[in-house]
Amino acid sequence: MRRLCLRQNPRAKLMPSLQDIQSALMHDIYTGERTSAKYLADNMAGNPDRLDIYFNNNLLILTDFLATVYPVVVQLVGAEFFKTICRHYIPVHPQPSGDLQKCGADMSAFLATFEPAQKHPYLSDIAKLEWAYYQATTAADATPVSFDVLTHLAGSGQDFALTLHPSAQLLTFEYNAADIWHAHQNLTVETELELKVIAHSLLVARNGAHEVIFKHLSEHEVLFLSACKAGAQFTEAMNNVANAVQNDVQMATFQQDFAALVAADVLTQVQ
Amino acid sequence: MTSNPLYSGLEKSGLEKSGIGLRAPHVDELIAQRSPVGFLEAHSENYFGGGKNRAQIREIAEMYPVTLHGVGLSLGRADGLDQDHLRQIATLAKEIDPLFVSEHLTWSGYSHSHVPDLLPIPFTNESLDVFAQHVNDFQDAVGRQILVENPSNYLAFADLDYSETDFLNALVEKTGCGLLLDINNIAVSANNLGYNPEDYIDNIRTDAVKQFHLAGYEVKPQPDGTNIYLDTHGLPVYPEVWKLYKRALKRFGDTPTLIEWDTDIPALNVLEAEAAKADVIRREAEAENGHAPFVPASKPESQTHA
Repeated sequence: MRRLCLRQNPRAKLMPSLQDIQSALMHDIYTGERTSAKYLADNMAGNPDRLDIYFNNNLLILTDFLATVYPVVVQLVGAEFFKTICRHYIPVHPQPSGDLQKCGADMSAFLATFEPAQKHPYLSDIAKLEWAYYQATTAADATPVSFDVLTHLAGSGQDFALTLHPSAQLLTFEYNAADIWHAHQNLTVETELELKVIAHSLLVARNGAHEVIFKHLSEHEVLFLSACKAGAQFTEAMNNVANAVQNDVQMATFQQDFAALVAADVLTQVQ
Repeated sequence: MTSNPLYSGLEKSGLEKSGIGLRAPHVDELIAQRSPVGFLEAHSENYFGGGKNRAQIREIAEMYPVTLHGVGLSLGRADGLDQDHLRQIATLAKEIDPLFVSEHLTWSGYSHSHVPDLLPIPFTNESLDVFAQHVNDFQDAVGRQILVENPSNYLAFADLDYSETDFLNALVEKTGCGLLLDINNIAVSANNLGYNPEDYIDNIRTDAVKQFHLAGYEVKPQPDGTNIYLDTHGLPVYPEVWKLYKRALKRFGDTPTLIEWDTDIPALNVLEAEAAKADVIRREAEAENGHAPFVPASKPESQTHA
């Protein structure tokens, strides 16, 4: 009787999978280790020292990119310390997608706990504002709701919902971050600035002229915008404000603020 | 020898003049006054969002022939394409109707980590299957043929089934994609990996090359006495690369050509001058090779993959 002999291709057994190679190389690029060296050619083109080219490129390109997203943080801490921040940030917060513009989202949270930066307690707030600014410039387009459309909707007898434009972000700060940011936009003018601990809400958004605006928000605007963001119908969002105001003056102020929000193109209609 | 057969008989669109990469410092100037360059190549990912960037690429596309060149889709990744990334390129392509849509013979993302770089793939049968599937997915998403560009490599893997040129030729066979031949990358990789750049050109099939890239590299001496060529796109095109370019023109015929410049970006007129230099070489090559006048494509014909 002929025996069945199972033969394995010895080369196939040794061949790593594409996933093995990519997992190891990606690990090495973010850590500087050389776990992928075993997959490289055994000639000069497989010299493991060349892994450093990819490691250095990654660090350099991501650091340069983060410096463009966080220019005021760079001004506040200096270019060298910013590089130190990036050397620690990048390995734990790798670029999350093939779209480089998504890289850096966690900088504010990182700076809040990064020990060497604790002598600048406001840095986390500045990073939060700069990330919001960057997101506002690159967010998707959407048609803002106009006064004419609002008038039409209000007169239709049916309820409707508004939400924030994709560029609009509702944020809270502990320090006067917008003041610090503005003071660093024109360094040829010397500005005296007092650091203030002042909890407040700010809307960061892109207007119809592609300009990023910062708008300090009253508690009633926050109430209204939060309701819109959560999916409330327009009537419910307005009722939230109506129940919170204490007199006609406050209501009149809110109505002016609401008109300013519409004029700034920060609201869209939920279709 | 005739002109690049892929372009013969197609409607004239200006691609007989070489193009340049669209870079942020030049955008306002390019909109304010029509540059003499033949076309502009935009990095797809730079225009994923809305706002001023998106408005400007629409304006640019009204004024110039535009190509879309991706750097982040990671066609060679082992764990599947990012469908959102793919959708964004397809939406952008539909909006600005580019002449070509291209990407690289590389990968740049695995699991939840990505790099702003173009990483080498091992030229194995498994890689070819993965890459071909992703090229097919890409072509389906954009509804047209895509071009795949040869990268600059600094490393080579062990246990390969193909050379890079054989891999590219097989990819064309499996998917019907076109090729974007980066002449600078050939010079860079040939030096770094130790092969003959002229052989590389001679081994690429002639029926798929639809565009050339030209750029400058930098030479970085290594501790072991060797030199690594770094694909920095920060200098004029090297004489060695112009020489290879002439060889490529002879093999593939007159082909749309683009000057890339990404670091230490100079004034627009410097790039225009490099593009004009490429044009002179193209016309000389036509004269030497007895080519018929170049008749470029208004748009490459869409091809369905096998």
